[in-house]
Amino acid sequence: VTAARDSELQIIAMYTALASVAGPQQPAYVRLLDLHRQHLHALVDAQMTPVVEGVATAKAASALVAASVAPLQSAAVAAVSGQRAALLASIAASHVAQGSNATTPGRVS
Amino acid sequence: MTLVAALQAALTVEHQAVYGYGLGAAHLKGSRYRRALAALTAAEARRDLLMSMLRTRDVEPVAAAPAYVPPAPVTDSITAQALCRHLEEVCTGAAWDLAAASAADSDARGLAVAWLASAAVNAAAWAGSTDAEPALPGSP
Repeated sequence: VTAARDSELQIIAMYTALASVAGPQQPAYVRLLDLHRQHLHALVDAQMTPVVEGVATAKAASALVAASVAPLQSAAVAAVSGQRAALLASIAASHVAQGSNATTPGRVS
Repeated sequence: MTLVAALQAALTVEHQAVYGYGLGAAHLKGSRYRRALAALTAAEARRDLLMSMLRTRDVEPVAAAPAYVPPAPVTDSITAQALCRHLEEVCTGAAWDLAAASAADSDARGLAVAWLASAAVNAAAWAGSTDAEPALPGSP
């Protein structure tokens, strides 16, 4: 869960940076930002302020989302708590769906 | 929910998916038809796996009904895609329940985690929009 939270924080940081740049894709980034904020809120009680290091790119954000799937699924399979397993699996599923959507900005094909 | 109840509920949903994808595919063409057939094949494989898991636990799997009533009439490509999306949304709920009811590192947990991802991808594909990406697929 800690790793999943850290992963969501990094993803949020990247999309925050991307969404802060005005452009035609800004609404899409804001939507993705909301999506991952919901993931984070499901994982932690307190709201945290993400910090982005370096330059955020759409490709890097998509790669981070994709890279988080396998660890999330492994954690879901191994979780002792059924509810926690379902939550982790659900976040992983959302990340997979995001990666599979061709209209997602910055998708790594 | 007990594991056996979750497995039976998942099997019931897959029976519906197998029937529903057969119905929906009949109204689809091209890539959508192929996507429906792929989902049908995957649902049949999961159905067989779920039946096997139940029999391993000395439980008789719930049988498929001869037919199922779709939530809305399926008469064309649009309504067929809506049915397919509905089927996947129902699957995400069953997969969530199975994940919650199963033990760590069990065969059922592994199936549930993979199924949830597959159903979320398919639901988004049938919706055809990023708006369809649920924050937490299958959550009650």
